Amino acid sequence: MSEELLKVSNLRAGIDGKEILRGIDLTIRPGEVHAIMGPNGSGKSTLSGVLAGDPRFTVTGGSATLGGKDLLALSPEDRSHEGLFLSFQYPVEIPGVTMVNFMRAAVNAKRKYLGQEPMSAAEFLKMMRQKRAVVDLDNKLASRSVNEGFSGGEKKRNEIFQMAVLEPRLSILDETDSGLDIDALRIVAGGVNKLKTDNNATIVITHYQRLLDYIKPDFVHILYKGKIVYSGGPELALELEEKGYDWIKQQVDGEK
Amino acid sequence: MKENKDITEKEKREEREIISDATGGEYKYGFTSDIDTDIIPPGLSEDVVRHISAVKGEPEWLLDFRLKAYRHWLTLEPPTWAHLTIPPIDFNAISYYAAPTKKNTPKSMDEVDPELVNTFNRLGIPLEEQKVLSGMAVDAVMDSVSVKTTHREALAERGIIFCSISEAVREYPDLVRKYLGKVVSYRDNFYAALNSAVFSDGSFVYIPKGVRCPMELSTYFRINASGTGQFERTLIVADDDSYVSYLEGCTAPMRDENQLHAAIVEIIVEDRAEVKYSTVQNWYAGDAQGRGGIYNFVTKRGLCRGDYSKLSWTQVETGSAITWKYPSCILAGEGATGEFYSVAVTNRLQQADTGTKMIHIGSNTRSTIVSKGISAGHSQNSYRGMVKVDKKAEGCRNYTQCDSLLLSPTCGAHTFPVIDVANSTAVVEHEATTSKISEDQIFYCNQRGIPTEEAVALIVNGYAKEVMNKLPMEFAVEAQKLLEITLEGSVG
Amino acid sequence: MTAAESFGQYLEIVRAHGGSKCPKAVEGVVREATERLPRAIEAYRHDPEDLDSCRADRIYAPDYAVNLDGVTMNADVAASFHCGVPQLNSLLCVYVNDSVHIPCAGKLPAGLEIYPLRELPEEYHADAAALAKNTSDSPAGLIDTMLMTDGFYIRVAAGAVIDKPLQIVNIFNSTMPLYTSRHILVHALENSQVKILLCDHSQTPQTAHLNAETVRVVADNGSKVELYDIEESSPATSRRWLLEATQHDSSNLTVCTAFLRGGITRNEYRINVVGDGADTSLSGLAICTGSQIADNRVTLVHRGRHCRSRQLFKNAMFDESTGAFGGKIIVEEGAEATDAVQTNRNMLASPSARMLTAPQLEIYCDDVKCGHGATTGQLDERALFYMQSRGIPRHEATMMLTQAFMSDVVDNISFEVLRQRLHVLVEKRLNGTSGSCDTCAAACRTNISKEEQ
Repeated sequence: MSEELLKVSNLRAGIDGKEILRGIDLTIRPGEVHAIMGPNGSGKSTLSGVLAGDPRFTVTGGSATLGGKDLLALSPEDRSHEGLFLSFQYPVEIPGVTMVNFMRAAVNAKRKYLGQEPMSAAEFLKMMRQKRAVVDLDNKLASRSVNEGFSGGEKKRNEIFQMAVLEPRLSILDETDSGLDIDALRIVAGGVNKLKTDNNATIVITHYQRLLDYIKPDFVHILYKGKIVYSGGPELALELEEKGYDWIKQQVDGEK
Repeated sequence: MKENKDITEKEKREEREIISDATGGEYKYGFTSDIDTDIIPPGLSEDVVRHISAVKGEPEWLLDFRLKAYRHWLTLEPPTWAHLTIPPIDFNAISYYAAPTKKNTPKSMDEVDPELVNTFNRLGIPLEEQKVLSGMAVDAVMDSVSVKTTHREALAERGIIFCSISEAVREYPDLVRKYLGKVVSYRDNFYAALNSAVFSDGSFVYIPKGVRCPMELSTYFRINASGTGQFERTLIVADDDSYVSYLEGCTAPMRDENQLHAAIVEIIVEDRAEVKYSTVQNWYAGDAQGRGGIYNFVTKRGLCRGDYSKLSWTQVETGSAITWKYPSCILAGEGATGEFYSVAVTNRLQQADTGTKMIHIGSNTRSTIVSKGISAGHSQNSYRGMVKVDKKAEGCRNYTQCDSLLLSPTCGAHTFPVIDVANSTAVVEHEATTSKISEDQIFYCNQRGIPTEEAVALIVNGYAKEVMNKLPMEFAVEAQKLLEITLEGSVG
Repeated sequence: MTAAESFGQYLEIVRAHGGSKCPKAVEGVVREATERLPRAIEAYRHDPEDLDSCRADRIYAPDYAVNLDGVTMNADVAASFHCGVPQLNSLLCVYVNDSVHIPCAGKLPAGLEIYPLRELPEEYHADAAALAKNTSDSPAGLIDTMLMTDGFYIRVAAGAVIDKPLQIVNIFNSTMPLYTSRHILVHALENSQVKILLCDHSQTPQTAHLNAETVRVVADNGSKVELYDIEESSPATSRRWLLEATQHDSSNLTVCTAFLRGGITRNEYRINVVGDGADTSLSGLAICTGSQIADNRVTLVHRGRHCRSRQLFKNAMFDESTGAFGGKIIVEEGAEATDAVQTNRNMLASPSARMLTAPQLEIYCDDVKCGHGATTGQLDERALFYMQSRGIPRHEATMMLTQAFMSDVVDNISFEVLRQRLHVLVEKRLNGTSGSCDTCAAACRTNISKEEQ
């Protein structure tokens, strides 16, 4: 349990020359669930984007490793193959590309990366069926174009379904609760919990405590102005829920 | 059933009558002024070019420029690619210089020919400064010569130069020489070569670094003398971080003959400067049989040389027998912006072939084209445009929307865009629609008690609104009226 | 040598030869075209600024041989050909270079007649001549007519509904550069229906080939004609394809072309809708790599009333390829209630690719609904990143998105077997594997992987 799955040191990154992350330090071990909370604009989505290799962001300093490998040197697809999964806050619609073709390309690309033979069509379809059950995803969605015409809840369930298929070592759930009603939230969170093992880890990025009622974090970090300003146990999330973010802001801004 | 059909036929006939009433409407600005005029005899030769230059007391370099242009012009043929039927023009039947006889620039209003002041007053152009309440500086060009420029002192305080181009040649020769012909070369096209050889006058504007011009600058062009052409030339230079809004208006008397107006407008926009150029063109369009009217063959182009510079063309074209005009932007500076907003209305036998070119050379340059064509009567109305993205221009964007509204079964509306993209980071979008004026909308208005004529005016105004909104206030009102006059009742 | 000079040479060669051996039915048409040619060549202007003009010079640069005596090519080549569209079960016709073969002659369903022009029954001569008439002033087009030594005459009887698709396989096989002038004349009589599939292949991909194919269609009242064309030739091929169609009352014309492999391709569509209530659907896709050029030009003239037309053309440009689309809709006076829409979407996937678009509307009638939209852009970066984040390599994601980009053109095809096959052909084209080679005994093997490097 003591090996480090993700190690982020003094990570700095920005967009269009504007620095957003100003030195992030974060260590995650297998089996752990970390929640990253923070007010709007604190850099939460930037952090998830940078770890996944979103080309909109530029890394200006620091390092990040996944299982000892230099994450920042890898292409987005290789980060995925190494076991990093990002559940998008806004899943992208891809008209004309069916979910089946999309997932088959993803699965086989990973198998190729790992030096395995591509999966047979029958095997693949069987796996799709099994994984769909995790989040109760309608079979019809599988034959539709990726995320096109999906409702907000369907999109998020589709994200967790993909997570189930790709079996990542580290999942980052970026505001997965946004735009979900309570039933959808339960299904999505249930899916995430089912996929949890001692060997994988999860980062839950959220603005609200709500999701953390369903996905229990071991650690809670508060991100503000591009830095983790507070780390603690699950009780920190409850404290935030009660007091809001203002006390954090005052404390941090007051220090300066 | 038969009865119903008859009614429809009758309604249609009535509608047609309304059209002919409206199209028979008088051209409001079609008076001539009784002003003493110096006109040189018709014909074009090197001597005529030398004469014009001599009359204006021009320096040697300018005469050279004219002669080069003239010699080049001799090698050219008039362009035929436009969707226009242009009767052959006898360039030797035109007089290339006509000037009101007052030789020197008037020092005060008392020195200006009273008939001239009267003319411009009838046009609604306030020449007398005490009457200028709208806060607009005016340069009035009568036939070939700039007659009066208002508000000069107030502008001079800020270092803004606004004068006739002849005067600029005398007073600021270095500036004129530096920029003249740099955006529109005399080699550019047939009419540009002709203009460069014989241009008589026009306006010159220079806005110094960091200066926002405090008022709208305006030129009114009027062709008065018969048998003449007008070849004015406008040069606008906006230095770094400056801003100017420039308005151009045009009228001409009613004559049976066709008169040629071949102007050049050149604009240079430096770093972060912005120029807004608005035109309300209402040259005489000819009568219902298509006799007379102005041939408006104009080359307008701006060079957005500076980074983050911006040039915006807005035009409302209602007049001229034939319009051949493509105000364009060369977007050379990084992040430069070009805009073209146009309403072109044609009626009777008018022909218009107008549009723009947006040439993206600099990276991250943006352009927007909104063109609204409205055709009525037997007119032909074409949008012609080019959007070109250079191989080296990264991240460019263009959006073009070009709509045509047809008001009669005998008119034509055409769209001829060319889009040439040689850089894979560009996003270029072009949308065009052509449709008839909506009968449902007219009926809806009728049902609410609005007569068809007014309904058409309402609908057309709504249709053109996006462009009209871009005009400065003073012009928008005038343009809207013109639109109504041109189109009253034109439902087919 | 410029194109204009080449035109003159072809005329000289034919004159020196005392004319070409043309089928009797079209003698008058060929003579008339030959007579008009000198003036057309004279009027032809080379314009160095014009892309077309420059391309014409390139197209005519090789010293092509012409088959003036109409010597028939070995039909064995045709026999060895197997269609790349399995389960198509088509009626097979073959053009080997410019020789006509009709293997399906004995198996034609009732109502369908197909003849080589040379063997055309006397009673159809007048019809064939009317169909073949060349009214254009293009020197290239007139030369094609001048060089007509044979062709297909296809006649669908009134009321006949031909379910089985008719497939004309164009095969190029020559060790010397060759100019093939191919002609397909289709007359669909009243209320008849027919589907025609054309495909181009090259068995000698190294040899320069000028593939000039003219398809002339007359769709009588109430008829329905579907025409599909798939080009899978070689980079050494220059293709000039012309479709000239006349549509009468309530006729229905569907055309879809797919440019998958080739060198320089120019597809020209001249559609005359003279009847009322007709429906026209034109679509095309082009996937260009290397230094390929794909150019689609449409002139659609609406004369009849209450007609509807739809156009959808898409280009995906890779490497140093160039794409062009010129679309002109003309609505003549009196063509009331015309509803015409034209869409052109282009994707530039490489910094050196270029796309030229000129969508045009010429409207002389007020009771119309016409529109066009043209966009040139690139693949959605967000979609690419999303796919990458799921482990799909960028190159593969690009190909998948390109395929998706093309899918609506393919989905327009109502002919199901072909639609499915074309989806596969597009996918294979993008994957860099040769489309038909796995099922095609001709094994022409256009070397696509090399092209894409």
